Amino acid sequence: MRLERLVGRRLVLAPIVFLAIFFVYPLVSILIVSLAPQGQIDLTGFVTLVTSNYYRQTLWFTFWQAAVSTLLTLALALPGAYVFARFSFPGKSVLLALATLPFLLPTVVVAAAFSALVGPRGVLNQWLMDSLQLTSPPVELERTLAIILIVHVFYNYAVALRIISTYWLNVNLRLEESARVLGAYGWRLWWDVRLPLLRPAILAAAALVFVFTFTSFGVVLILGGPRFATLEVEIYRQTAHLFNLPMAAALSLVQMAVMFAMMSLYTRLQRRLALERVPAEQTLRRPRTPLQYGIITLNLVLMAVLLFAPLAALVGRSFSAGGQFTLTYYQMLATNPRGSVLFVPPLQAVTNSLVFAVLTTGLAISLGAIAAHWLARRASRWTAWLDSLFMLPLATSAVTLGFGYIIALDRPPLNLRTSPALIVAAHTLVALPFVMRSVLPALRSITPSIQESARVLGASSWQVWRLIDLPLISRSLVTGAIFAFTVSLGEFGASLFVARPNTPTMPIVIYRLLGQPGPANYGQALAMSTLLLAAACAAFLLIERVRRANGSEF
Amino acid sequence: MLAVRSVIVNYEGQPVLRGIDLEIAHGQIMCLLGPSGGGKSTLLRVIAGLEAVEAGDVLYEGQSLAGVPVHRRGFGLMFQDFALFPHLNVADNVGFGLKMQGLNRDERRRRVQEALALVGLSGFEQRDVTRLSGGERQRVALARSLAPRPRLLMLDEPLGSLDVVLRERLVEEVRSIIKQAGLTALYVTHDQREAFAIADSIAILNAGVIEQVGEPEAIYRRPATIFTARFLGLHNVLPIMSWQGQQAETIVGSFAIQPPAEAVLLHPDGLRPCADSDSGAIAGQVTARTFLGDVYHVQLRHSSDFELLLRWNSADGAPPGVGDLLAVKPNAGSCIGLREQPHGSRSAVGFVS
Amino acid sequence: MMVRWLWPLLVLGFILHPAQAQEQTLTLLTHDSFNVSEEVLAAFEAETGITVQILRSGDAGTMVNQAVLSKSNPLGDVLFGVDNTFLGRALDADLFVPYESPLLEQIPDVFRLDPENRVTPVDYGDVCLNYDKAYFEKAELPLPESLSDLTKPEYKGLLVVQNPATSSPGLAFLLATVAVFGETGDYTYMDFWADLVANDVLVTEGWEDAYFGQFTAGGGDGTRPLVVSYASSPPFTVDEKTGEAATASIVADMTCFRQIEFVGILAGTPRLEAAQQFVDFMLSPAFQEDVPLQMYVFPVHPEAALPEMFVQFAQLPEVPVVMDFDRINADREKWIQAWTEIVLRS
Repeated sequence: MRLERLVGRRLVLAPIVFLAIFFVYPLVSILIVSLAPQGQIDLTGFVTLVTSNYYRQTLWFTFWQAAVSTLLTLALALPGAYVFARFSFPGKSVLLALATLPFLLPTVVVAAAFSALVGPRGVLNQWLMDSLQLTSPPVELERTLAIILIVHVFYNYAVALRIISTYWLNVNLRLEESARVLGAYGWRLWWDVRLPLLRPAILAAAALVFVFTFTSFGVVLILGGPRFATLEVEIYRQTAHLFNLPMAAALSLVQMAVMFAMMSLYTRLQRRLALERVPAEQTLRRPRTPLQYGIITLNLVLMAVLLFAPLAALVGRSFSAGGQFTLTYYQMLATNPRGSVLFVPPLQAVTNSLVFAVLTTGLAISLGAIAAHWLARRASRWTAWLDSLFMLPLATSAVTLGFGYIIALDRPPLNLRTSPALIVAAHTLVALPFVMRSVLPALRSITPSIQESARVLGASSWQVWRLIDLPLISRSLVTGAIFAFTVSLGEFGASLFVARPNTPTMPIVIYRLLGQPGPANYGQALAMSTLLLAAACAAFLLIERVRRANGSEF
Repeated sequence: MLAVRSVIVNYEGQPVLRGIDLEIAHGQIMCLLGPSGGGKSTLLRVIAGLEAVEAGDVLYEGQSLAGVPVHRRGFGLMFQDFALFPHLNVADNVGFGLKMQGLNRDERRRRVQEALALVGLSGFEQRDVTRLSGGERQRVALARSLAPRPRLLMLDEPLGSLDVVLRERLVEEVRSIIKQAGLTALYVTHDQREAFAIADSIAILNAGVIEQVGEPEAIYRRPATIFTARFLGLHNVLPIMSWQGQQAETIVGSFAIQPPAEAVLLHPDGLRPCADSDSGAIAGQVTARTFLGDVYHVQLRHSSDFELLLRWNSADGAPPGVGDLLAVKPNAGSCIGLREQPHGSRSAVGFVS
Repeated sequence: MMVRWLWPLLVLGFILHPAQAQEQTLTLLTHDSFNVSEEVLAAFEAETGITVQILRSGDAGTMVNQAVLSKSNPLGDVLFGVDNTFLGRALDADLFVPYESPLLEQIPDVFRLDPENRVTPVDYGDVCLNYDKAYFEKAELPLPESLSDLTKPEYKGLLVVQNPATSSPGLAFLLATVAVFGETGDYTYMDFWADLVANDVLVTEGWEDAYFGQFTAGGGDGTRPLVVSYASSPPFTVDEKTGEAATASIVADMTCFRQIEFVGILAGTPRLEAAQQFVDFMLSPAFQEDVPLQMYVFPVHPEAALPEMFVQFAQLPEVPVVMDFDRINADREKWIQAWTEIVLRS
């Protein structure tokens, strides 16, 4: 009993210790080195930040594009959420799973997909030129703000869709019906009833999408071109190329401050999202009227155009060479010819990715469950901060953290700089927020009287956890686990820093293949991307099978 | 005023309403009474326009409502869980329908005050609805339904989520509020006491079929079907084994009944003690005796093992004790013929004033 | 027979003496683009008993910055991949200990930039304009013969370059323009870039996007027939059926910038001898001849045999732009900043 309690106490600390070692300590180290290289605090970075027009513009652009991306995402996802929360139709859960796929794709691949679709020589322009007898491509999206915004919506549509529709599914349908009986219809119904009722979910989705787009890196870097720079891009530039660490640190701190504020908002809102669950049968209806069919069709078309057309273009290309169907690129993945850019056959990366993903899942689930358990029990200001702190790795630039690892984890017993364990640690850091966000709502919705009944019947707190809480949250744990798995599969930024050549992951292989000239490498990169998609697809379909009405977000 | 004609609703292939006909007259409170799952709420939703029908029609003042959307029907609907808008305060909840009607702010404020006064919640305007007690929320929901002066007010188990004491107090209050506001109302409940207390007329709804329509007293005194009798707690139902002219033969004796009927109800209020030797006397042993204040419930076991219940007026002195023998005889008019199926179930007619 | 049960013993011995194994492991710190054939490396390992652990960490700039940051406790024993555009930063930080390889005397002096031999040249590549042969033939357009030709109207909207702040060839191309047009006078590199912008130059962040995404012959859907790439890129566009390369590089005088990559032994390594052996290995014929197909650059050893496709399709400029690495180091950030303001924030 005493031992149990002692172990219990220690266990509770595990997530915090993990966060301290693999996040806080490296981050603080690099910030100290950057801001006080000779022991003297050097704040010139901040001064430049405020005085220079260039950085003010960067900051303004970062805010602005994140705000517009967020609004656009919400505007498109809201009707979609309505369809998913109110109607049942065949293929719905598969569709929702597929909609989440973009979230895992490396930006290079997304860029290739979009260029295949809307690029000057892409499907759309070809078709328009042929059918309208034009000599030049009519759609010019490359390197425009428009493409940045479109791809941001592409990435975040499903995030908003999931958060809002999950919440909506649990909003009492009687509220809406009462309003209709009282005379509300059309825009009044949306404005006076639906939107206010959904406010916590809309705000939570907005906060999360804002976080993702504010820290947007690859999309802005590759698709937007050098004309556009977010803070994250500027941090990368200052760190990796200009080696202006004080500036990079100042930018990082500004970014983290903004992000921490958004995360706090989000975690606070999420606590309000814990609603009494209404069985789905009560709110889900088959469509009946032509208008309802119309709305559903319109949303499905939107999803098809926005989400699936680029993915289809990508998959299609991986199977074609010179306009002909081919499996060559896939066959090439299994070989490691002399002159290959990798130390191992590219297919080996599939195995590596799976192994890392399994390890990450185990670690993230254990730590996430403990942390969530802890945060769900104690509701103090201090836990609210901690809750946000666990989200912060999502908002931290990979290059900053990578440099932090180099200088912080360099001495035994933590000499992990060259260890593959660091990959698992880095992936876990990114996966942890997803696990916690899945598990926390489920834990919070457990009525305390259930746990109290168990205590009265003689269960120790450990037994309550094992026999009551765990079975009740098992579904969201599985959801969290598969999220961790897929996040690990798709993780790129941190992997690039810590992955060793003999253990490349799938996104790394894609990146390396794209870094070499020749159509063969390009084709293999697309083939590998398709494999990554397939792996993620399988995992997501698995999620949908276990999720059903359980309260995970994302 | 409101007429429901041959309404059929199926849900996922299962019939929910199988041909409902019902009429409600102006100023009347009609109660839909029946067990859960009988289709009461669905019928309300059909009338409100929230549920589409497979067949049939709803008429208001002789006009079909088929093409009229929910928000144009001008009806009120109050749910069991009250469905108060959590993002609005009391005044804004009550004033919601008025806002939808396009009333200006001053007019709205006046009407909200009026409605709140009617339900006894004056001064509650600025309160947060999530911090109200169950009874207060019920009143706010009622005020919200009343404020737009609906042509028809529908209440779906409006007291169902409240505790018994509160419920008994509120039933009469709700009735007087509705009457005071001069509204026509359709009230759904599964509780017969509530129905008797509030209704001008009751429709018994079971398994998607209306079993009987009538004034509360008439329904209680003369249930028409086996289901209605049992649902009202009148358990002395004897299957008719054969007919001897106008005499229906049952295991405890034969009774004068107007055919057609499939069973006989011996109304527990109409059984009087008599001598063993009386013709038509039903004798048995008392197996239970429960004192309920104004009456005793006495359980009698007939030699056929049939258990008979009678209500013994306590003013007449104590009934025989358990184990004693007792003979009873039904009053004139308390032998009631019951049908298996509602008679002409498609054309039950409501109370018309 | 003996061999069969000797193996497990050997393995066991290996496990039981990790300290010894540790001594044998040499860590090579390098950039993302480093590659070596497995068998070449295996031969070295077998011969010397040294196990080489390769640690790739980002692009060349990121790698050097990392090495500078972790100078007091280096990540590895040897660093390969610092080129003349970043050499100054590495030398200023005293990252390396001098080593004069016996093989160095065979290497031409033009590659030996550090007289103290703190770094040893390994390979070089020329950043040159590459063009889509089919496009220029079809348009009957003459090739640009100098950098200033690029501002002519007939080349309007044809060129894609990389951001020097984020791309190594991009930086090399900027340095070439600085060297060619100078920083003072009537027409400076800044004027040239302003004219390029007026002539609708396209800028990408990285080489991959420029080459695959924007270049017409890169395999993607690009629209630009001129790209800043390497003189060694064309061999990789050879069509298997025709045996012809789809692209070629422009090697006119003073249009290409020469990048030389170096290896250095990191100060503080306890495995100095093994590190020196590795440097020797990088200058050996086996490694030098492996370089072209692994990293798409030319070996510094003049006698290293080149693969057939290189001989056939990779051209070498006779007069490439060269720039003193100290000058690069002194003004690199200044030029990038000026470039950013002219090209990106105009």
